[in-house]
Amino acid sequence: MTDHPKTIAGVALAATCVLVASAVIAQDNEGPGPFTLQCEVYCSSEKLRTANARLSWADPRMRLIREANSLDAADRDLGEEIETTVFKDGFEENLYASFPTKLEARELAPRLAPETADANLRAYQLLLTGVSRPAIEGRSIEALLGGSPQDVETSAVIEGLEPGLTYYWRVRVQMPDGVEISQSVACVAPVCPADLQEGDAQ
Amino acid sequence: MNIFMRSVWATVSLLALALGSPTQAQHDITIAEIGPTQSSLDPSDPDGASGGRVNGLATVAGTDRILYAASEWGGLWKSTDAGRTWSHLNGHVPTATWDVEVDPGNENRVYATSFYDGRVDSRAGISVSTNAGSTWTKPASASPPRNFCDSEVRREEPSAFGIAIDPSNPNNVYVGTNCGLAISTDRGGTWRYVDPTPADGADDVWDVVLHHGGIIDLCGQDGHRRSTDGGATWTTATGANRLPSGRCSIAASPDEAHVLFAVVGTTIYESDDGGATWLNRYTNPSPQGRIPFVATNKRDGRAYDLWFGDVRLYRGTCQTPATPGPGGAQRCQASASWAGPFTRSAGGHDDVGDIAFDSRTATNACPVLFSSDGGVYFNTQSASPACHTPAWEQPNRTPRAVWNWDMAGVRRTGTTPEDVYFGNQDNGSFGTTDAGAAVPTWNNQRCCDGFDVAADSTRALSTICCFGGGRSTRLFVSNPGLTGGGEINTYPAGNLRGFQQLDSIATFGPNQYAVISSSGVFLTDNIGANPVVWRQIGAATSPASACGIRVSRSGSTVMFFVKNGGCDGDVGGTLWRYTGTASSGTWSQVTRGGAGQFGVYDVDTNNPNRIIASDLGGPSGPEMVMTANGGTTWTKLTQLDALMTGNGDFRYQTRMGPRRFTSLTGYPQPTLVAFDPADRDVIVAAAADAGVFASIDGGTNWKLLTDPNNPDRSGVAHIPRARHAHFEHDEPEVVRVYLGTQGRGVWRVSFRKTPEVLKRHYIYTTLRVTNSGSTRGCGYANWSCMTGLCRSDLGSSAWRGWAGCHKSGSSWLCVFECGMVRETF
Repeated sequence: MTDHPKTIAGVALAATCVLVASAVIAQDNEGPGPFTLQCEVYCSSEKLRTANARLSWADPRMRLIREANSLDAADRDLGEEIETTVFKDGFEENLYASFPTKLEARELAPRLAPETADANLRAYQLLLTGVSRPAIEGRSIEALLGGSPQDVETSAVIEGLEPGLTYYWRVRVQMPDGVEISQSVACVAPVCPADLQEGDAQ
Repeated sequence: MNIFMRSVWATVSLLALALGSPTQAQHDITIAEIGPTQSSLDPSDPDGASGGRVNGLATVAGTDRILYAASEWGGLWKSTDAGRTWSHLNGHVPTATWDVEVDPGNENRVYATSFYDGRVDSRAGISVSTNAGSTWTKPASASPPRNFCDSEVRREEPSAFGIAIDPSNPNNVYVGTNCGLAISTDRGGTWRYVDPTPADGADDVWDVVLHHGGIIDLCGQDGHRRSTDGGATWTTATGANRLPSGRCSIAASPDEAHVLFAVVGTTIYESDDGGATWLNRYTNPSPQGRIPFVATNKRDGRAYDLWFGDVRLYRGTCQTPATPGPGGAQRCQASASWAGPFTRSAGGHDDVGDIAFDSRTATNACPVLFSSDGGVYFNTQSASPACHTPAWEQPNRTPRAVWNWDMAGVRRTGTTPEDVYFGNQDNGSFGTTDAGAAVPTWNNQRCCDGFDVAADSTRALSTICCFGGGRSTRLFVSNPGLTGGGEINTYPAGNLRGFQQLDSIATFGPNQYAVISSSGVFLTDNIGANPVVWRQIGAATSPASACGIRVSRSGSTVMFFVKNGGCDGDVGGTLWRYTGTASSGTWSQVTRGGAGQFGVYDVDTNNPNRIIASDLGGPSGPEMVMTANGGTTWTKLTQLDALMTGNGDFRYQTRMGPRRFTSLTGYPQPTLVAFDPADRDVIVAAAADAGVFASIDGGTNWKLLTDPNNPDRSGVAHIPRARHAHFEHDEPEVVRVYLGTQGRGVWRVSFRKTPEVLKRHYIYTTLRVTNSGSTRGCGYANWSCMTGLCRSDLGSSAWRGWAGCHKSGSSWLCVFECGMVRETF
């Protein structure tokens, strides 16, 4: 009911997101270093008492396009997932939930890491309601890669954060040369009060 | 620096008293708090209220008469008559308060916590009073050391949260902060900081409880931690069943040291093994997450109560096993069996904050007070066991800490008649037709979230939330004073705006109103018609997130202005203009040199080329600007800039200051700019922390009207976060402005617009001098600092107030405040 995502990303993101740590991946075919993830939180303008997070990161397909110098490289299925935990060391302790971000993903509830004991934890009753990717069709490689960072950004909206909790987020991508994991960022889920009239359901 | 910039206008009669100068003219400036002290709606619906959000509560050992309340935005409040009347504690200057507690062995020693106050030398965080709340200090050691927090901004912009006093040794006081746990072992005289997780830097500890001979349990960003050695070492859960990271409340069983209760987010947890696991949970009967709490209350034998509040207040019955020990079944009944709810249906307001018990008994103590979004409510049931099923009543004189989303007014002839309306965060909508009276009569027409208000001489419009079926925010048309009337018969397309500080409704002529919805900006030429006919203006070019509507006229041409985004005024947005009332026009952007990220703004009602705004998009931070030619060129208002920061005392842009609800994400100082529609020379502005300002020469010179520094000593009110203004002129040369605030209610400020007033200035400021130099100020006195001493070359008679020296690194730092009256400059 309250804010929409801030249009001035620099202002809002600086205020709401905290860089937690750079992810380190113990894999033989480790890819390049961590990439940047940003999150902003806001109250839904459509649903009462509903806190959302919007995550954005550089579309990993851009690196493939750049390296292959071909737009066809973007067709590859990268097995991209958003991971979240409400425990400060939740990624290290495998106490997180994850969302595949395939284009067809909508209204998708997370799956939980095997070590997560309680699937009923309110904090993980989330929905991935939308993923937006940069348009590739009809654009030249030069235009695509020469644009602003926002032009090549993927974003996702997660609905239903538990208000007051600190959510830690990261994105994991299976690239051809190994797994890449973004930096971890923390956002505090906002309180979205809606004070109901007498007789309305609480 | 112009000496005017250091000046403060003040209530002269109070000043004369304070300064021993009886010759000052009376009534040059008067400031009166005029907000409602009760809700007229309360008898039929306690979700109408006049108190505003209150968080923590405190009782005094051995009496049920003295009570303290920490309000969300309006500072600390105290009652000495068992909660029937409440007075503001002006000596506690930080306004966004969280908790308050009283030393059980010394009723004069009071501890309070607050969110960051915007000051460079912050007074927020931990405050200590040794005289029952009259004056407050922040001990130097109450600030965390350098390089201790997980980021330096936490030290620079401190906030503090839950307070716990060891019941077995009141010398030991523990406070959760945004930089770990602060511990005092000398009743708040000195403090040291402890990080329960030292490997990653100290961060938020939201709550702490002391129990069973000094066991410390806390919760916050690191989840739960326990120490049994005074904070030297800490334990926590190691498996999956642990407390999440976030804002929380924690309580302990009165019988078993290993039984803990906590709420994090909206989920209620129980640990029966000292926090090693948090396996047991209770279903939250009314989840929302405003600021949920848990508390325990010892009853007969092995029984105790678990009190829980989120939207509503409940009491669960708990039982200690015959053979106490870790583990076993959860101690309390399932929440489906909890008694309650004890809010709206029991005479109290929803969205609970805290509960306080009678301190005169350790067992079966009656709940005497609870807090919520509606303020505080006392229990009319005073004897156990009936009191454990409380029947709440609003005070005779509530705290005045309502959070105005909007204010509007209609000018009436005469000093007493004046229509003023305001909508509040969860306290509903209020209106009066005698706002000029010493004590206006307010009508609280509707409850819950009151957003926009707008009015003309025959009606008042107000938007109210939240209706569960269909349209959640609805528009009502009422008679003057906010009586009668009903819901509008026809809405414009889209949903009405809500939870925004900037206006979404404005009148632009007789019966004519403009309303912003999620679909755009709509006009009607007759709000009284049936059906009301709406037309959208400039649909093809309408700003996507329009808010903050302003109307101006140039001759017969009406112009509309809106912001696009940043609808609380604390985040930048673009500014847009629309000429005329036909639907086919085009919105065009008003820029400042091709850019401009405006925060708060206003347009002269009689001259659409005059715009004043805060520009939040500059490379060096916020700045106040004004244009007289519709945005072609802008003038920086450097005097106003200086006042917005209190000449350097306040940060123009905070990074971890409280913004809304419990969001500690920072804010800029400017909260208000407003042209006087009846006098082009008069402009009012305000800051979140630095006060309220006025110009009577069209924006060239600016004066501070309030006292954000020492209102208790000056007798001049501190009015934080003024966000709305309505002007009135009923006496020659007297400007009367009604101010609506985010969390400190409604005020009336009057001042004479005469040359004489410019010549009478109360200088009251804070200066800092190190032993490496001197500075000039406070009546042109030259001040210097020597080891341990602050000296003035005019002698002590030239100033009043206080001075203090302390060691800052290798230097002595002299900080002093001074004030005097000068007739001319």
